[in-house]
Amino acid sequence: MDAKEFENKIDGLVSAALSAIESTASLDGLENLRLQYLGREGELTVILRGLASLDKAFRPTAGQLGNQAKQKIEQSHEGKRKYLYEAGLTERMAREAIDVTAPGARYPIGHVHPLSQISSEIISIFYSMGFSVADGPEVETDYYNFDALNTPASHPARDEQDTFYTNMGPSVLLRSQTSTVQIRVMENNKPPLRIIAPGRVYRNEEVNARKYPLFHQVEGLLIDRDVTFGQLKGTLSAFIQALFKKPLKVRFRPDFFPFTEPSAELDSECPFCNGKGCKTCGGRGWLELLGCGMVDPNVLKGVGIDPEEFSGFAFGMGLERLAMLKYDINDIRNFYTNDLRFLEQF
Amino acid sequence: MKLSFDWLSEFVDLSGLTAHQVAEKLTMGAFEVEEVTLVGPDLTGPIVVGEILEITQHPNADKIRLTKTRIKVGAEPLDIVCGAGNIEVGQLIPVALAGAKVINRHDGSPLLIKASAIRGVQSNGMLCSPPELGITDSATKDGILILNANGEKPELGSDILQLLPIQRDFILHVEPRSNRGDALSVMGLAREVAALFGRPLKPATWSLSELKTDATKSKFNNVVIESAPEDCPFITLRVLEGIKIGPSHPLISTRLTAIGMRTVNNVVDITNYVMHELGQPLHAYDLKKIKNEAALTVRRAKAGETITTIDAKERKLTEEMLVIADGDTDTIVGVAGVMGGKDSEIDDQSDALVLEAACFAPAVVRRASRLLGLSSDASLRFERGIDPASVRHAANRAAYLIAKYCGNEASTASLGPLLAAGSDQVSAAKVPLRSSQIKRLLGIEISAERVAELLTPLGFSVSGAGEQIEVMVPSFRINDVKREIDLIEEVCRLNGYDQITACMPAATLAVAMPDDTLQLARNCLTGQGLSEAWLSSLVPIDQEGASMDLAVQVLNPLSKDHQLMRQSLIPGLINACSYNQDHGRKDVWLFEHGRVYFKDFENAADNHGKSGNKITTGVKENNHLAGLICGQSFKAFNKEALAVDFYLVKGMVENLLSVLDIDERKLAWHGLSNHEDLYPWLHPYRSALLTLNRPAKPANKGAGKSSSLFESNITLGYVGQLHPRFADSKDVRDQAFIFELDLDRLKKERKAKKFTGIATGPEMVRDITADFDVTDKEVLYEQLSKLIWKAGGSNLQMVELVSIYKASPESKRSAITCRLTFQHANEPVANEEIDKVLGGIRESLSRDLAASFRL
Ligand SMILES: [Zn+2]
Repeated sequence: MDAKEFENKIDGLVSAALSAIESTASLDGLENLRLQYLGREGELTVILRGLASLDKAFRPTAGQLGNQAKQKIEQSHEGKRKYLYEAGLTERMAREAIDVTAPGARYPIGHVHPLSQISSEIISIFYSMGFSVADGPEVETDYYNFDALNTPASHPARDEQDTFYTNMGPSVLLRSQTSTVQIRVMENNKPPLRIIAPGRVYRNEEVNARKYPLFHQVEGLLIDRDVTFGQLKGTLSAFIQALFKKPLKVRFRPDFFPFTEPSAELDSECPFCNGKGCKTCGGRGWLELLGCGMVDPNVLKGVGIDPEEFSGFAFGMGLERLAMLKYDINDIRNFYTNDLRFLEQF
Repeated sequence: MKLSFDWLSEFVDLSGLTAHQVAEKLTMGAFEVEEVTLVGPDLTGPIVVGEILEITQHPNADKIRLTKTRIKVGAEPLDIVCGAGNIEVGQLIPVALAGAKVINRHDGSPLLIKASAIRGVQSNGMLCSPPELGITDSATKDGILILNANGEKPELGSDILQLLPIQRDFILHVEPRSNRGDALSVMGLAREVAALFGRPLKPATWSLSELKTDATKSKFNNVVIESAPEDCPFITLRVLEGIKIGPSHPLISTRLTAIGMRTVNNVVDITNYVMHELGQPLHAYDLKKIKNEAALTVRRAKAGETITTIDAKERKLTEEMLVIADGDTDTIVGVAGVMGGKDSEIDDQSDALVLEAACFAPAVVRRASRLLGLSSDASLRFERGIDPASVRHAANRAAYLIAKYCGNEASTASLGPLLAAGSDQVSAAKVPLRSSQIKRLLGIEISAERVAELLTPLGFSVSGAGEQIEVMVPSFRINDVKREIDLIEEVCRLNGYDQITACMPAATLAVAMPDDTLQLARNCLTGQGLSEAWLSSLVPIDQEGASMDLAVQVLNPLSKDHQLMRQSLIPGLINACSYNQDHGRKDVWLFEHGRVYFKDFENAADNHGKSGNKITTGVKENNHLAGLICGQSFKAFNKEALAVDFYLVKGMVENLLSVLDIDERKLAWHGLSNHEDLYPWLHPYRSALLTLNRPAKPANKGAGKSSSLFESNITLGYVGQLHPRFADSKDVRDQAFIFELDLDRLKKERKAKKFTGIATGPEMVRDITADFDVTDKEVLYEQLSKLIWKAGGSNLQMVELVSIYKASPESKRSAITCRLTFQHANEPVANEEIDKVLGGIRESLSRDLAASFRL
């Protein structure tokens, strides 16, 4: 085979291969063509393997021609392969079309009860001010519920709170306030103290939209040297702003509790009308949120803390009341019916 | 208590103050005013006297005329349109100007006056008819009220609301304060208002001595306190004769009606009037109806005695109650401080009476009031404490009013002398006050001078200066002001809480983070689709599954449905499930965290604290976590719903244990078929008990026979299917699954997180299938896995259950296949070693469970 013959043969092979590649329509056909020309026994491979038998002077040119031919076929093959792959993908994906506006398949997620949510919030706000969580029993003795809280047997507050008594003895009752925890904490710990105590309390009251025989309070207590009424005002004002996430005005109004003196009721500017007056606040522009005061010296003496050395403040709030205000719930019974149509809104 | 603004103004100068300003001041001064209501017509000025100068016909309307009306001499007259027929030039009439509020005569609603055009003609006010001013008894039936009809000459521009006898009053609804009995009266609140506004109290305008009275003829001449002096420190009686019973004087009936009191007759109304005015309850007996005509006695009732009270109910009396009896025949005429007797009541024929004013012990009155279920305005005041030193004044005031307003027309009333027993002397209380303590507790300086300025108007007298201040407490405040702190409160309140600058306590870290166990559990369960419920801990007394031997019960329950302290959270969750299903929900997934309550026999012994008070209750309260899953799980339009079964719910609990970092190898699951009697809600063959994998400590059962699953100290909880009978009885409409865990015990088992490295040796996986003869007894996976782990050597990382095979439920053979994964921390595990371990496992299973193995 002379050079001319060789060149013609290569050219013929390349054009046949290119046109076959051009006309093939499938990746399988393309792969067959690759094997036909470039495979181990492919037509071009065989020719290139035969180069050795050519004239020595012509061999470099022939080699070059052969390699160029191989590149051309490879390039054409690769181009076509990419083209066919993309075309195939496009077609396949079109067949995979779905209605993406149909709803997602949701794994069911439960809802945390609004009272848990508000309780967690209150705990974290006070935690940020250095308060730890304390706990105490719900079935209590009258000593912790009343006597230690400066409410002796003759005190009218004992009747007002409509206490449930139990079969565990005449002095064993269901606590009517979480203030019991104050005493248990002070008996077992030395000041300085900062605690809050969330918990369930019981009062013998007929069920209606505002009252339920059990409800929940969060009690707070801070005892240290030089604790003032001003610090009580500062701490609770900061708390209200954090809870309602608004710079609400608050006011402290004198009130009476047996275990604090001076005592106050904290009113906040109504967050629904910003103090202008609305249905929630009964047109007053103020909402009564919690009771508080300076711990009465008798209470401190009772637990062995010297009221001349230490002073402190205490406060108590109703979880239900705060949750009702925060989430605009108008019937306390919603909290205990556990209707999923209610729970799922939180 | 309802406080009349008009009445209040008799005691303290309120000029220039509105009822709302007084209400606001009282609210911020410790006497919360819940609302202010108006009695009488709701009118607001300007409503003034005007004169009609000119009348012309309205151009666009037949029945309407135009007036030129002036409200000031020399001023430009106003154009005012009027529809009434009775107006004439020269008449003086009431003119409501723009901004005034009068009454719509058609429907009684408020009518706001604005300057406006009426049928194209400007009108700058309104000429008023009597009904528009709330006057209903006027001679003028139709048309405008003519003010100069009888030749009167009211001054032009003067205020109609002052000029006409329009009865208007504001009622302040004051929340009573349990520690301030002295302020349950117009007089008491007048003292507060005077102090809060810094205004003087008005002196009394009456005096008993000014009355011309005759001597009484009655033999009645004594009152005796037989009871302990603490029961009744002081009592007065006075005979009044020549009385004529009839309706009250309008001044008295108007005021009583305004504060919502029913009027009865002139004498009874005056006793109520004085009680509201001065805070001293009074009672009038018909003198003729008292059998012993000479004396009354104060004594304790004897067991078995009865009285018919004024409300016509017969009351059984006990020795705890104080009564007033007639001295001779010992007939009871009244329950002291609570209510008088029917038999001695004033009636239309009464012409002589005995008026009682006394001071009874608060605790005794409260006890009687509770025992009799009878609360009155009088008992309310006695319970809060009456000042003995003020009794005489009130007795005189009532006698004065009765003599003045209830006399027989033929003669004046005769007043007997004031008969008294006991003592009205109150020992003076001097309380020291250190100004340094004011600073220490309130954070602000208040000088001795300022203290005097604040306290004096309330009847305190203040002496001393600088650090040492001395305060004399008035008799009516000795019950609530005894200590330095009581004075500090008083000073703080009068000075104003708003005068104290808010500041923060020194910043500090909390002693401990809040425990996160509950929070993690909540996140885990809501993440698995359960919503959180909060349920009542007071449950019905006949609660299924409750152990009565361990029951904590309420002795005074609201109803039988709120009598027992719950012992499990499950019954409440089941009720919540049926409630939701009744309201259209098919799928109910709920959990709850809450307490359960049991008698605690280990701690039942009376434990007393240092102070000698009982500190233990004999009750143990445990925190439980429970769930109920009823209906389907994961649902989507293009997929099959995932069926809920026992294993899905057990898996949730296992996830929870893992979230709480509890080592599963420390736990054991057991079948529950032999515990059915304990919890009626558990399916005996589809329930599992979770315990710690260690021997239980024997429980102290005390008197109790039956008990709870949680009694054993290793029990952590259970998972199971709801018993079909229980589900049916509670209307649960699908298979339901439940779990309940002792969260306190789980918390104790939580371990600290610790990283143990990532093993890099290759994982070697082998399956092992064991065949069992289950003719006599099922072989449980738990038994098998325990043996595998025991013989599995240190490289065994994981045992997975592949299948439990039984040809049919009756089949006598079963096959359990497990997949074992072996892995070393950093090198391959040799096949020979694994074979050796597997041999050991087979041997152990053959020996302990009679397993056989296929080749
Ligand atoms: Zn509002």
